[in-house]
Amino acid sequence: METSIASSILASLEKVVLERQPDGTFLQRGSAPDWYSRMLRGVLRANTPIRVECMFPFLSVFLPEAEAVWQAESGGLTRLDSDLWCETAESGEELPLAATALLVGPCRLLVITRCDELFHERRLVLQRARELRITHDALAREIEQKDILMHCIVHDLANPLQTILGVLSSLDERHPPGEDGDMIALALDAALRQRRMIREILSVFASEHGDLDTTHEETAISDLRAGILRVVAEHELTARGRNVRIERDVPPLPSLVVADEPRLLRVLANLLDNAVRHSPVGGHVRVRVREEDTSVEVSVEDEGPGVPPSLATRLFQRFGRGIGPEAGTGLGLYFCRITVERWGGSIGYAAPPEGGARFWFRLRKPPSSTGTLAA
Amino acid sequence: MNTLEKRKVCLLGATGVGKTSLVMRFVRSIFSDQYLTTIGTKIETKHLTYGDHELVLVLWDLSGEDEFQRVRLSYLRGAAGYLLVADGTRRATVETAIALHHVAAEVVGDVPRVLVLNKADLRAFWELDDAYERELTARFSVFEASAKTGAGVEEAFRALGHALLQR
Repeated sequence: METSIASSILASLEKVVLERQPDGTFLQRGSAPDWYSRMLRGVLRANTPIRVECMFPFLSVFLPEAEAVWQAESGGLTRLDSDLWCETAESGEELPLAATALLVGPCRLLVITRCDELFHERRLVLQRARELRITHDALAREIEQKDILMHCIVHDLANPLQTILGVLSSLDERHPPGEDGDMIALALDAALRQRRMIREILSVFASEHGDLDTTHEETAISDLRAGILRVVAEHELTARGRNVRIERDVPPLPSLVVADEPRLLRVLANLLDNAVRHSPVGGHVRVRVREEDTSVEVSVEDEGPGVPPSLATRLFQRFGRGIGPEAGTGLGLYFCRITVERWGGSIGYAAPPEGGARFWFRLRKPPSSTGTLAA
Repeated sequence: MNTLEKRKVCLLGATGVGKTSLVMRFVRSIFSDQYLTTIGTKIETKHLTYGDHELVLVLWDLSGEDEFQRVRLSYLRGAAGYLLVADGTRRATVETAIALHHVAAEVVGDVPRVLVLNKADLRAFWELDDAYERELTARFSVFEASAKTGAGVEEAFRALGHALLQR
């Protein structure tokens, strides 16, 4: 009686229980669910030995794995579940199935379960994930195309600007007197600022799209000390104009790091430019180098108002710019981050307790005797 | 009929390239625009006739390869051949098909295979240039097909079936 109830329960749970025979055929045990009975049409009796791998080709790959369960010594593996698979019945009905191999006492059992609900739930989740992936990829392609378009537009904007700069420079060199001279100086200053912004945008584009020539490889090596000395020298004139003093604390000997020189100079220039711009009149900017075991850290500190906490979290993101007249394109620090990270380094910001701002970046030292010194 | 032979054939390719659609077109002559991802393995059979020979293809439509699901190599066991499927509008899927070809060859050896570039009805949007297609043709039996229109589908499967009978 109990066996009969258990058999009916299994059938109502859409499970069929088959017992493996010594010759590799299987015999049905207990009642069969409807879906299985329909598949058995043509088989004379329910207890006729069958080759399940002929009925369900998928089992041809599962049965060899199931032998590990059926042949197990005591204490070994006693259960193995197959993946889901799908058979199409003669009526065209889709049958999602899963098999379980069991060793129960001396019986080697194969339980095949029709699992529509699990199948549809899994399909729903997986399909959603895959649709999101396809949408994501399509959006990424679209963004890339728009970036390229923007690059072309910005690049084209730079061409007439060269003419404007040339004309303004020529006029400026004539030293026109009075208000005319002031207006030309103002226009020249604005045009130079615009050129800097355009170059910044083009640099970011080049970094994002892997526009790397041989000197931009991740294996390029540069002298950090020489780079700092050069960039500080370039900024001293501007700093003096604002009565800002740049102090540097650099090692006496060349300090080699994994970086290519043109971009390293731009990273340093970006940080130093920001520091000078945000420094109060009469303030100090400090550039320090700290050697560590496997890396070198550079910090640039100023005595300006610092970064508002609301901005600090997105400082290094694209267009994460500040507000006010000193704000740039919002790409400078973003460029610094993606460039430094490409070299395997890191970059960050800290608010010193005494006030001001402290930006730092850390670059890897090259493995000894490898790499090339980038020109 | 003089002979009746049964052969297992696996369909391999990235997600969404149209493996199931190709099988449905080939076996049942139907096509649906609704994309339904394949879970696990879907098995269909198709009878083909070549003169006096009848060939039963047991088609193992394996779930697409992507970051959510990997193709189980054990499912290739016993395969007499395989169809590599790629979507012409997504070049990356051709790379995936080639990678799967290398993996499959390690499991089942040098068996007959064809490369099907699906979605020929969207030819204008293909990401494959002529040079790349020539390169593919030099390495594989390549068929341009469309599960949507049916163009090239029968030819691809029949060519593989023919190659299976030659062995």
